[in-house]
Amino acid sequence: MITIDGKQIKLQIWDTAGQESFRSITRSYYRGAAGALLVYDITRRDTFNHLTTWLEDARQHSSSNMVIMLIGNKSDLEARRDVKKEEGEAFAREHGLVFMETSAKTAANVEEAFINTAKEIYQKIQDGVFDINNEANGIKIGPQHSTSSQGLPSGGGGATPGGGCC
Amino acid sequence: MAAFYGVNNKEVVRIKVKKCDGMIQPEYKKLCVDPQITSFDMLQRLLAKAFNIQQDFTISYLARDDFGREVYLSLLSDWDIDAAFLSAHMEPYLRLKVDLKPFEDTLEDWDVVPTEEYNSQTTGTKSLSSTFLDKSLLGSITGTISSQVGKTMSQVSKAIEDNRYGNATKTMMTDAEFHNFLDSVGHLVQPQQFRLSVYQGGIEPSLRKVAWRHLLNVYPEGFSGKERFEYLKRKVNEYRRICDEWRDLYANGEFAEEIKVVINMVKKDVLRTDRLHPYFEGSDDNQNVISLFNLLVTYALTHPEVSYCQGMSDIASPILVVQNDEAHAYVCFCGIMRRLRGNFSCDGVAMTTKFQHLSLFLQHQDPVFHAYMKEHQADDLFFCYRWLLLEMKREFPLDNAMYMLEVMWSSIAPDPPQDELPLVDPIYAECGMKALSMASPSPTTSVYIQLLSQRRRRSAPSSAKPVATPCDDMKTLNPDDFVEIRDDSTAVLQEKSVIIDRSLECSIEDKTNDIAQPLADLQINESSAEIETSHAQRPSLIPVQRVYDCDSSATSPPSGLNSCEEATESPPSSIEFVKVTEKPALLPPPSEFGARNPFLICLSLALLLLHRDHIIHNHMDYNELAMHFDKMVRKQNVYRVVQQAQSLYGGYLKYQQGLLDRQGGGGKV
Repeated sequence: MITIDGKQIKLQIWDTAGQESFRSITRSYYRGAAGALLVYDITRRDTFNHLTTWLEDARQHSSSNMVIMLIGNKSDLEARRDVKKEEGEAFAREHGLVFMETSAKTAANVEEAFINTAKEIYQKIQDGVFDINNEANGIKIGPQHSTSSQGLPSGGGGATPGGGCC
Repeated sequence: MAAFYGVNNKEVVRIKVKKCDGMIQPEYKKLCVDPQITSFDMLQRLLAKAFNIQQDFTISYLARDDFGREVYLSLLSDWDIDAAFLSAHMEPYLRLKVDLKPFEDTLEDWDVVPTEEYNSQTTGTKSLSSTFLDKSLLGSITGTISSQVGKTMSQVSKAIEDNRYGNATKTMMTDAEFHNFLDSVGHLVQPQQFRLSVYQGGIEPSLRKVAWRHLLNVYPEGFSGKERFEYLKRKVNEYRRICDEWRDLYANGEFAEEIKVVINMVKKDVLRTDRLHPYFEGSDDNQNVISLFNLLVTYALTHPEVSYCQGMSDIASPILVVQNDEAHAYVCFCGIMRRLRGNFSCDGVAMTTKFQHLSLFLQHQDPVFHAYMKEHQADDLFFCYRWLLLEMKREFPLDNAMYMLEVMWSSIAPDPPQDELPLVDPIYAECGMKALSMASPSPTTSVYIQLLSQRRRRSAPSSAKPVATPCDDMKTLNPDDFVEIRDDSTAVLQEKSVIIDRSLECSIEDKTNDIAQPLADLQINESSAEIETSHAQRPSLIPVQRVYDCDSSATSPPSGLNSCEEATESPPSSIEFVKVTEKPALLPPPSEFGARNPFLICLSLALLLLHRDHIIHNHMDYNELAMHFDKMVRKQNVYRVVQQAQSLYGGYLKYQQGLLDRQGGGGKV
């Protein structure tokens, strides 16, 4: 539960599996999601290299308005960094994503990542991009006219808080 | 006391009882009972009198666990009494403990509840004494069974018929009973009866180690006890050799990067698999955790086409707990993976089939609930993914899951390996561990890595075969699909499975008479309240005891819609009046249903139906449904679910029989 603009917003967050075998099920999470966090591991270039595939997958199976954040995780492991911050930023710019680096271990930027995603979604509602009466967008108005948005699958190579395979 | 060793013949059992009441000094008493006539009820009264107890109390008995350590196990039923007598038959006394503090019913974590205590869990909020009443009634039936164990199966069915309560089938299979299925040199001469018995009552924990190896198709057919022993010894050595090979390379850091990734993946999962269970708890260097790691890495490296996939640790964990030996567990794991590897395959065919069959079964069994799911775009049932992938293992506390697993395995037709169970894939057998080493002579990448990348490519979205997408629905499924994909080997298997299913069917027939309507009948079911209150009455379409008590308002339109939530969609209750006109496709035969595991589909449906009213009553949408079941992980009631699944399975078998009869195929085999 977070507050943006004086409005209470309840986020429903799903942690999806990153392994290839679970692609089919991961796809089902995109449906009805208002936002997604695409997470890679800054210490492993192969997770960065896979982003294109994941992004393609997400775009293909979600609403075209879905907010996608690009997250470079494990920022605490600066010494083992394999992907430069600039590379992440460039990828995000190129694909129209919002970029951040986080550390699930130290909690650096983790809350911000979710709050920023929610803010983006909220902005899109304000702009009339999302039709709040259509639940397929993943947004549901709760009682007392507060806004709640659901379904933020996070996926990709990096470790996301929570864990669990399926 | 002539026949001292035969527990059934023992005339007198001496009992030493210790009474504990908080901090007060324990009180001791000795007494003697006749094991032939002492029921749980009687024992309880006897002890209450002996110690002049006026309040609720619990009884436990001293037994030895697998490691020979002394443990107190709860004594809650006639089943437990039999087990207690049996455990003490070599001892001078049966040692009991009477505890004035009743069992905790507010345990935080189900993971740590030992199996033996399930009875206290299943009673829930019911008062202890009323539970005892039920138990003693059941006990008199199950008591009859245990004294006649192995004589004839018909007596078992008779007992089930007599048992109107329907929730006690048979005692767990004991060592003594198991020996009835073997001949003098240990050939398993009655494999079907063996499986039937497991199906009806599960296996006593101490016997699981041995019995599971049979259920998991470790042994080729026709082995004697001595042959099995030697075979297993050979397999154990084979495992040790393979395992040592990669561990040497690992220790020297000679692995290619891709292999290290696989190993890290296993490590990550092993460190969070069943860690609250006593077997895996404690620090990360718990030897059992390391064993699970070794076993899974060995499998991944020697089966490059399967490799490691999340969820496999859940499949291996109960097997390791039961075998309590890394090498034995590995052999069993190879046995089960022969059947389950498809679950982890990138093509998703096995999983897709299971989803389709579950959805179809739901449509057959409960068209109203199916319509509800459809209305909420949840009829793909993707929130059941974990159930189908891990064969329900994670829905129950681990110790309870073992019972569910053995019952399920017993329902699957035996599939023993031809000559012996391969511990490695042929591709590995050809290349050996060298393929994994960085120092591999191959100038490019090793075979293993090639296979790994093939796996990856196959699953890439651009080239992937479209697997079940949410919009793929059952309309595309037609009965002909089920007969096409049958080659010779599956035909043989089907034949086998029909035989075993028949034998199951015969004995559970009486029980399934309770399913009043044939499965194919589409009918709106009545309110569940009626079913719950009167067991004697013939239940309607679905004889489910729901987890949640729902009043009749659940099925009548809700009064006063006030939240915006409902304004946008019609209230779910309106589907009660929707005429279900769509006739679902036929259910596939046992050799195909649930990708050769029909009982898994029954378990899954049972779990869905047990929560049905709660779901509909709370108008749960797709996400809420998924969250609801996620919250229930490791907390489902195994006995309710298995019992319900057995009902469904019985109905399914009858339905299949009906299909065969209608086809004029000549009726029963």
